Amino acid sequence: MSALVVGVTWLRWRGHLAGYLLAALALGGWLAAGPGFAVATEQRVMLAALAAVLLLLGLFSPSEPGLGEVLWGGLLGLALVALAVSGPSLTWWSALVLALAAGCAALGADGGFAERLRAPAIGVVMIGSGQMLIAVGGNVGVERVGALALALGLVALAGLVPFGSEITARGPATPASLAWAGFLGPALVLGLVARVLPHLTPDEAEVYSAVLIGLGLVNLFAGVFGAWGSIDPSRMWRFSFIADWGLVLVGLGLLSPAAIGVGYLALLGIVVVRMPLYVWSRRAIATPPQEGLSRTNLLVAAALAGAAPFAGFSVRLLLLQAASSLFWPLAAVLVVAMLCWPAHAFRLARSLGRPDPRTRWGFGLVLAASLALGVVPGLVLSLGGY
Amino acid sequence: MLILEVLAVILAWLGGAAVLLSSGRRGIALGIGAAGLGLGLSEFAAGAGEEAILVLLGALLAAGLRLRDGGRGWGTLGPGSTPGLISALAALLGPLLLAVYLLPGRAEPALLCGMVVTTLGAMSVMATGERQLSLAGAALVAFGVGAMAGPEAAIYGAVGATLVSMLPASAASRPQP
Repeated sequence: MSALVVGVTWLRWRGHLAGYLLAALALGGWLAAGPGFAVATEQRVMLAALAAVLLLLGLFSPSEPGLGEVLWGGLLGLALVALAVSGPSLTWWSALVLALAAGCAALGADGGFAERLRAPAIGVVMIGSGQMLIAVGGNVGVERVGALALALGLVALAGLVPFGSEITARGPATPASLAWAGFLGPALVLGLVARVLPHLTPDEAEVYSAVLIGLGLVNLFAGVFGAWGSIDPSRMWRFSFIADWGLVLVGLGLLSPAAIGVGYLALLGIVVVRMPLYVWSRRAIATPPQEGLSRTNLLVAAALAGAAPFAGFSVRLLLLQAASSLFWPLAAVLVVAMLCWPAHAFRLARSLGRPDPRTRWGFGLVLAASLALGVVPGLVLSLGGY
Repeated sequence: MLILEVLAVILAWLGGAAVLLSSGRRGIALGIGAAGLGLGLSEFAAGAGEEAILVLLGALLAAGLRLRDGGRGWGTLGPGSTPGLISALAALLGPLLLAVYLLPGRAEPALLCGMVVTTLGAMSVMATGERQLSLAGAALVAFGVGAMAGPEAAIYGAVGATLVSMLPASAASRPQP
């Protein structure tokens, strides 16, 4: 089957990026038939969410040049992510992440390839070094440095502060950077956490947790206040992704199963809610802004603000619960950021403009997904094995 | 066997340094090939013959793919390459010191080769704004991270390096569908 797909694509796109990636897919598919490949429960849900988002974008996006190529790229990315997260070891995961990062960086037509590849590549270096130091360390100090490298690698891999590229108002957000932060990154980070956590000793876990929580707070505040202070809608959207990732990092850093579940819920929220809305906003951003908010925009604003009963609300509630059970001042700091969050959500919703009837259906489905994540988070968590 | 191990480390370093210090396709391809040969030799010295052959094959493939596009010629040690030269020396000394003082008795030659190649790959990715060198650096990182994790993982690293090398060095050279 893989060989057939490769053959067809090679004829269609000979020499094109997609042809190469499909060849890689065939190789991966062949390897996947071997022992040691398995998809974890939470990854199945995440991969299904990625596939659903691609379908949603394909069905409800306004037709514009280049959309087909974006969807093809997304499909290939999804297949390679599936191979990466189902692989037998962290090194397999790292190798495919590098290939994916390079492929994603090549999507941007505005140059800056090297800059886009830098953060994921450094993330892979740090994760590989951390893995090596923990495996052969032999003393507490070296192993702690290994845990530090793993946590920093995770943050670098996601392209977050302080490793991400500078967000300026000069140009629009590149599709490549947000495809990484909003589409491929969540599944890859979930796969990384599942591979790293079981091998950490309590001492190493302490370092790993502290770094993730600390950088999570930094990203949360940088995202919330960066979006608040932005005038350019593209820049605002990029900061809003960073803010969401801040919640994810804090959840993953708290280390309790419940908190990691919150990180998983937040990642699903990024993929299912924020990413499609961002893709649909790109066309509206290019047109002159319209005054006022329609009913759809108001509902989207509520969903992006984390208001009940949408997805963000359950994430915030469960995260505060997990944080307060560990150290209540952490919950207090989180509350401050969460209270400031709605300020930019309404402006983000306005940047979506007035959608055409077809895209309005897409908005409806995204809101329904957000509602499902918010109303029955327990069901989603149990589907993911949390 | 000791000679083989020393040769492996030297080849890995020379290969990585050639990538860091080159801007032409030949220099970069030679660097990837030499680094892969060094890693393969270190695996062979550790008794992992099959893995060594696969790593070497991966390196040859990655080097061949890098030869097809990008800047012409060797472009090695061009004007202004002194900082790169010093960085390359540091990339050898740093992992050596780490192996001797922090991981005494636990750093095998393959691990040392992996550390050297990873460091040089990371330097290439960080130092450049050029797509060709960035891709070559990422390929070195894949090789190096694989070698640091053991013989079986070295094969995965070679697969990753080959996949990265499949991407063209120039966006303009991609035919549109």
